[in-house]
Amino acid sequence: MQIDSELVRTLLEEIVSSDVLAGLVDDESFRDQGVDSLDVVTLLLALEERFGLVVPDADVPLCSSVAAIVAYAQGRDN
Amino acid sequence: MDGIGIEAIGVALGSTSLENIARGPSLGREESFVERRIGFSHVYRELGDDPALELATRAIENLRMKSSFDLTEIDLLICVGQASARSRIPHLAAVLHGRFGLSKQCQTLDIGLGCSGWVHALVIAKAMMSTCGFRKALVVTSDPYSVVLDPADDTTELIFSDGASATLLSHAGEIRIRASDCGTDGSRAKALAVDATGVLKMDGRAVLDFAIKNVPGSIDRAVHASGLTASDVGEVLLHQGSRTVVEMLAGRLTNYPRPKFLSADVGNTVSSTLPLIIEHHGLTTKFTAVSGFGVGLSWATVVLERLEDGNADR
Repeated sequence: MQIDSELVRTLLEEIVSSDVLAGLVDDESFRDQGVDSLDVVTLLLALEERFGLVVPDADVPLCSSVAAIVAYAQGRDN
Repeated sequence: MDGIGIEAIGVALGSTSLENIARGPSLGREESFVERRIGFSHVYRELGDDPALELATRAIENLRMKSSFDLTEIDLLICVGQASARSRIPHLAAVLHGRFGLSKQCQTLDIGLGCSGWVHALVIAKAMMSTCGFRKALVVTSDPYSVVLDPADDTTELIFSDGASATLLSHAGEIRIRASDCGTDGSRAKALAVDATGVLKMDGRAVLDFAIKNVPGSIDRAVHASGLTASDVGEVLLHQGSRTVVEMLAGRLTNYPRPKFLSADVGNTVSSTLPLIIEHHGLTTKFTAVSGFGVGLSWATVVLERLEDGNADR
C-alpha cells in the first residue's frame, strides 16, 4: 500500500487528539504543531508494523512532518 | 532448582529531591508533558565528591538494618555502575570491600551496565554461587547519572535520578532466581552514551524503539525457559525508563498482567530501579517476570519465584 498523507493522518487519529489532528498542516513540523517526539515514535512503529516501512535511527530526523514522511516513503520505494 | 535467592534488599536515594514537573518549562517542556509522558514527579541528586560510593554505602547500611547477616560470609560482591567509572580505579566493589571489612576470600568485581545491570548481576551472581560454592553474595547497584548529565538537556535531566541498592543473595533466600534471557544490540550503542565531552546523550526514540522490539520477546523466552507459561506469571515488573516506555510496553504484553508505572516519585535510577521497586512494593505473586533494558543497548529478564513459608531450603 502506498503511504500517502491520508494514510499517515489515519494512523495519527489513534495517537494524537482530534484538536491536534484537525489543525495539522502537512508540511509543517510535528513538533511545532503539538505532535511530540513520543507521538512520532508511535507513528513510526505503526508504519513499520502495518506497512513495512522501517526507518533506521539515522533517518528519523527526515520524518519530521506528514509531508516529509510521505516523501521519505516514496523515496524508499524508488 | 539451584536453591539461590534474594534474602533482602537495601536501598538509598540521593540526598536532594527535585520537584520535576515544575522544572519542565525551564527545560522547554510543558508541565503536562513531564507529568503525562515522562511521568516522574520527583528525581533525586546525590552531591559530593564520590556519590557512587556514598550511595552504595548507604544502601548496604540500609540492608544491614533489615537483615542481620554476617559480613564475613559474603563470598562475592558485585557492583553495577558506570557513571563514575572513569575515575574508578580501583573498582567500586574493592573500595566497598575495604570499607565494610569483608573477608579476603570475597571475590569483587564491577559490571559496566546501565538499566539492565541489576538483572544481569543477579544472573551472574547465581551462576558464580552455583559453580564456586559461595555462601552469600551482595549485588550493589550505584550509578548516579547526575555526574554525567547536562542540566540543560531535557531528554536526560528530567528522567534520571540518583539511587542505589544492595541485594543479599543466599541459598536461603525466599525469592528464587529462575531462568533468564539477556542480550545486546551493539549497533545501537550510541543511542545512550557519554560523548567526548563527558555528557550523557540519549536518543529517546531509539531507546524506546529498541525496548518495544526486544523486551516482550525476552520476557516470553525467560518465562518459557523457567518451564512456565504467560498465565503462570502474576506480575511483570519493567525498568521504569519513563511512563511512556512502561505504558507502550504494557500495550504489547497483552498475554501478561498489565505492567504498572511505579516510580513516579523516584525517577529513573538506572540499575537501581528494579530493586527499588521490589523493596518498596514487594513481590505480590508467586512468579514475577522482571525486565531491565537500556545502555548497550541491552536487555535482561529474569523470572523470580516467591517461595511459600518453609520452602526456602528446597
